[in-house]
Amino acid sequence: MAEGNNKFYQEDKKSERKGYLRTQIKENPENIKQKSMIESKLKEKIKEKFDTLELVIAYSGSSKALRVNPLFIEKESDIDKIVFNSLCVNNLAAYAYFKSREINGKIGIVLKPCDAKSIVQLISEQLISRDKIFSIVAGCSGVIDYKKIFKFTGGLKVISADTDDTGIRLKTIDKDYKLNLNDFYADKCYSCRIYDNPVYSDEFIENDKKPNLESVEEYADIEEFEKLGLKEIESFWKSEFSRCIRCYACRNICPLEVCRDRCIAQLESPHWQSQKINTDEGKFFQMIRVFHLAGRCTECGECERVCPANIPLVKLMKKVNRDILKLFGYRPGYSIDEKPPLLTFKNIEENIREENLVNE
Amino acid sequence: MNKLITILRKENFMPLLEKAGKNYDVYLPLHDKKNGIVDFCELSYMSEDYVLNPGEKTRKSPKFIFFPQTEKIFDFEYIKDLQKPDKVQIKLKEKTDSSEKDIKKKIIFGLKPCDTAGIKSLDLVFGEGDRKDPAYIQKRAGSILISIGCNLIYPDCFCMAVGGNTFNFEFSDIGLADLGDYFVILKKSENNEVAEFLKENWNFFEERNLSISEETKIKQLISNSEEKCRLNWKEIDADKINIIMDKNFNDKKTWKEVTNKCISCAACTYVCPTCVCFSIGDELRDMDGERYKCWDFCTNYYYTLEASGHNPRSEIYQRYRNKINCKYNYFYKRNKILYCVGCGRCIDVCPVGIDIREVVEAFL
Repeated sequence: MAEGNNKFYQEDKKSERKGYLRTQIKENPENIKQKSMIESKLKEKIKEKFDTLELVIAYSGSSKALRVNPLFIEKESDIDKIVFNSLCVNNLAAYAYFKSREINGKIGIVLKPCDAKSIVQLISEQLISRDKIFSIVAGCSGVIDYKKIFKFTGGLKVISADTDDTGIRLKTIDKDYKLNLNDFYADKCYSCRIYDNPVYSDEFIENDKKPNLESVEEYADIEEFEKLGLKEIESFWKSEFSRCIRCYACRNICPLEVCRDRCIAQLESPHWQSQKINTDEGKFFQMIRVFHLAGRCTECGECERVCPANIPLVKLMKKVNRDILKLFGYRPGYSIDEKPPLLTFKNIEENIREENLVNE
Repeated sequence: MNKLITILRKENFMPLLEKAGKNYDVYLPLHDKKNGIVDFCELSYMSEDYVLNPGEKTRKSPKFIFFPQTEKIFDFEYIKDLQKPDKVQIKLKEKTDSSEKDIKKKIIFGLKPCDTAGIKSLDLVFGEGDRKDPAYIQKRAGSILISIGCNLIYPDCFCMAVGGNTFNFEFSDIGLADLGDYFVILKKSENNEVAEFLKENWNFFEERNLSISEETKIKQLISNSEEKCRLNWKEIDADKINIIMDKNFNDKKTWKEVTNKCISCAACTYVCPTCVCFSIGDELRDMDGERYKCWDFCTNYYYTLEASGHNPRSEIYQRYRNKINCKYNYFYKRNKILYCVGCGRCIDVCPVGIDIREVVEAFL
């Protein structure tokens, strides 16, 4: 591709790129030791298994502060680019379905224990076959939700971030911050029980570092939210969805929404949903998502993470999931063999009494 | 010789906008304290939940002000003839009188130079040439673009690489430099709208001589921000990049490699200041219908889906390749400017961290 007479090529690429690659996270030596322990174990394991895998999906560093990128490894030399740290918030199971259809061989995916639930759900719904995915689950010490940090800085501005045990020191384009790390873990981390005990894995790599978080009751936030009156709830969602731009990022990042190129919200005929972009249509589209994911969502929080409008979508998912738990005693993503309750039926449901329905 | 300058003190700033708000629709970049998003909002949003920090980059580009996400084109009606039940006639209703909002002139305050370059690109598509969009022209006519030179260079900003500049006021009507307590007007357009606006509100401005310290301060600001912005990406040679893109069009392997992680959502296109694709749809309720246009995105599977069921761009890399080529190749061939203004919004918003600089660099 390179051409001698073009001015781009004559310059040393590495030194050119230094400018915008100045945002890598620096950690203190102790953390690096911890980090490299799990990271090097991970790399070793992948190297060991690499011959049997056609593609490995893992995390790599990013040009942006506080972010990591998905990394697709086809050459063995790329394994050294792998990172695994508290910034690895992405759920790489998002690629499981589509890449397993594209590629004939086996795909290795690096997962956190919570991400493994998405793989379990995909397998239990027979959307992917168990022997096509090799899940490498790495123990997790909690992941940082960069969006929470961006709320302080006004988004975009972070240039670099240093973390140590007490907090994060942020350098942004106009101010410097020192923030307490404990406030910035992803919401799901506060009620996580499976960080060192994944429900499913082909290979589990233990992490010596454990999360050190004040744990929160699983659906406490939903119960709190439900105490609001209907009017308040309605106006809350109205103001949230007024920002929706219907970019479909929430749908496309979801590991379980494998319908993205066949979505009923975008079909021209039959024309189920208007293509208009406004508060009501955004809300309606989200209702389609909620019902599609009822009893399937593993609450990985990716939809909320990717939303450019910062709409708290996980609230909706959690509400439905809690109701499913109450009705059917079912948690999505915990068992490969259990049939999801909404994909089957029983003659008599223990918790749904028909006479109750009539009375109500 | 002393140079005469016009300044606007910051304490006069809100009263000015409030007064202007009576005659104009005023948009300004407001920082939503609740969720940390900065976005162009109307003046009426100004409340305790929002703060105005001039110079902040917004999450979404300002294109929605002239090119709304959804816009009605016209209404129509089906009329059944009882004599001929198999024939249905369509009656077009006159375009419902343009809403007051469309006619009212607009002032957009706090644009960055890259935003104004984006609006220039929209002008080239909708407002110039032999096909014009009347709805766009109606909204755009008489609007005043007030931009502020960039004191803050975000980590994603790379306008210098694509032919822009951090203090480029070529496409703005009024160009300001932010000197802390006050703004200095560095550029005034010669057109009637600006003259009228300044005349109406002259009591908020001050005219005086430029002091030497101010002059050096402004020069310092400009050179500082240029230097920072240059660091973010090297300069792209616009004459050559389109040839490179053409040559690498069929390099399937590299295109697949750089777009491996793309999930084909619309986040990057919907925040982009220059993406202009839209689709047109009809919506029926009983016998009444409405034809509207709304934003569409080329990374969308449905974008090129044909009625036969065939899709020429069925794979993600094909669609993303089109997006990059649109920015760095096709538009340049038509209009001799790059269609990427270097605002970096797509980099910030991408869910999977695709960096347009890295994608383009893969082919350099």
